[in-house]
Amino acid sequence: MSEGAAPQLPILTISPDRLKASLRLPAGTPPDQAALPCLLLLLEERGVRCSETSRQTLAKMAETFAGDPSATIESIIAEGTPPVHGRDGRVEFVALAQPEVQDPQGSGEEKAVDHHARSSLRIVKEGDVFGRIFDPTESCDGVDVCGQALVARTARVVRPTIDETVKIDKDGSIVALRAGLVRTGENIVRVADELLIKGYVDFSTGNVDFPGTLTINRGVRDLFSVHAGKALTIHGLVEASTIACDGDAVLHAGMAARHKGSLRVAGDLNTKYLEGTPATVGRDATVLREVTNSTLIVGRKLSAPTCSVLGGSLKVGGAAEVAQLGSEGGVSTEVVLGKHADCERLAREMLELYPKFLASVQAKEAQLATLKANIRKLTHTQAESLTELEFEIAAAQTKLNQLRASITRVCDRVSQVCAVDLTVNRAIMPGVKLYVGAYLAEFPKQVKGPIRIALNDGGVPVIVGASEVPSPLSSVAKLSPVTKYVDFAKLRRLVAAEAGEPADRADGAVPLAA
Amino acid sequence: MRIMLIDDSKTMRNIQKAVLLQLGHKEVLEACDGQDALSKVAAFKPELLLVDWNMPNMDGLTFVKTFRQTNKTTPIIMVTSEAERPRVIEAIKAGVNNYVVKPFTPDLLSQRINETLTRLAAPAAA
Repeated sequence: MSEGAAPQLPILTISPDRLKASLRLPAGTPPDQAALPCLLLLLEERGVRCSETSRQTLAKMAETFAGDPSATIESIIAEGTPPVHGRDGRVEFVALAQPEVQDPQGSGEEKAVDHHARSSLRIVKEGDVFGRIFDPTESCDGVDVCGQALVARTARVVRPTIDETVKIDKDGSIVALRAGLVRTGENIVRVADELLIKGYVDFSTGNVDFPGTLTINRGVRDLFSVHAGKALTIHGLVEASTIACDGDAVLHAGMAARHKGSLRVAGDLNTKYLEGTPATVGRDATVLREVTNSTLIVGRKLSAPTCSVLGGSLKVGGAAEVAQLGSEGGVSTEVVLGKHADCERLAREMLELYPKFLASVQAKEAQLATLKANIRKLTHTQAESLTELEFEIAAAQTKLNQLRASITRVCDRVSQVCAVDLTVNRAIMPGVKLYVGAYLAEFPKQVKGPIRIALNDGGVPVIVGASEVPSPLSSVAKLSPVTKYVDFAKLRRLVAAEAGEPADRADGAVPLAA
Repeated sequence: MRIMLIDDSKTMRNIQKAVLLQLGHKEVLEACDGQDALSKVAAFKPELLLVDWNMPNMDGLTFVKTFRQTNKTTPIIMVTSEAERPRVIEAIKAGVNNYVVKPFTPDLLSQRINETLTRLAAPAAA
């Protein structure tokens, strides 16, 4: 220490958060000031709580300093306890499922992902857990170096408002009670049954698979897919995309799939036009303008009195009304009347099975008859073999009866929903192939409307013009018999005859099982 | 209803089991001969037994006689190819309640089972 310099004094520092107190003994501090009693007094003056640990630290500092007063020493002599603040409760939603990254090469390098399938919509199924509520954590006050409490912040509870579409389990899981779109905001969580897409279905939305009622204010862009579990309304143009609807669909601006997309509607369809679109409609279809180069299958009625059907094919189960079939250029246009695609398919499958089942029963019955005729006194083993055969016959007969019942149901269904009744308001053009009943009608020249084509009681196609007097369709078209479609009347007669029943059932129509 | 099927032929047991299932009886226990059946009846406590006559170890008739020593009420249907009248009478004397002769059809077996159960239920209901 240089002569004349001011004596140094111990310095006690408390940290700004008041959780640490440190003591500095500068070199040259007078020994009496660095002695333990003085240091204890200093702590007391500053209000710092002196624990046993603090006291031991001070004693050690005093002793060290006494040994070498020329060295500055410093040490933390007291520590507080920080407060533990509570963490607010929170709601966390399950991340949106996104298409998995695929690695077609298996190399682990080049990875592809379908960006069309990336959806920004949180759509859930009934029973899905789509979020979780976390409770707030508990808070705990702290203590500073002077023994004063450091108050901890109390956390807030978060409990969103829900409606009948959502439930919250005891563990905080948020569960959807119905399928739909998760809507959140203003502390409300619910699952909506309706979805409105204000713009296009494009990369901003991704593919849409919605279980409820879906409305798209604009259109659907190329290569996207849309599925609605209930009704579907699209105000804009539907491009080459895949559209499926389990309810009724309205396409205000029509669909131009350009043979790349498809349309499937389980209920009724109402559209402005269809172009290059394979479309299947479960019930009735209404088309305003035209159906061009499309494959349109309508389960029941087609109502298109101002619409032209040009190119492609049209298959209608029930009555149909159109403005024009075919074009002046003679474009090939196929029209099939009174055929139900699903019933046709089912009937074909059953027709294939029927002779096999019948032959199986007949073969076993013949075998049984032969055995019974040839054996006079049965041994134990023979008796058991015959019992086994009796059971096989019974099982085969049951299957055959079930098949007969199914065939009858399909026939009944066809007679309920299928009808040959075509009204053409303007004209049928050359190039049109019309399958009507068991005939194919080809039109060598234009037939002007309004006309109506149906079958007479004998199953022969007739045409009714303005005179309202039916004349054979063969008067305007070349008729040739066709066998490519199932003759349901014949099928019913066949099954009924083999089952020993009258062909015309007295018990009326049996609905087709779903 | 607990039903025990006693027959040495697995095929026959399967056939009878199928008929029982069709009639709505799902609690069925199988035994391959009389001895096997005797070892199982105490635990299973069947409410109906379908018994074949010709089986190895212990035939159906012996089983019925032994079973009837301790159980007089549980109905027994003999399902067998023994169709001669003296044999049928012998079985009935031993305690058989009904009789089905092989070969039989599923309908016949169903009919005999229902018949037996109805007959036994009638006095109880009265």
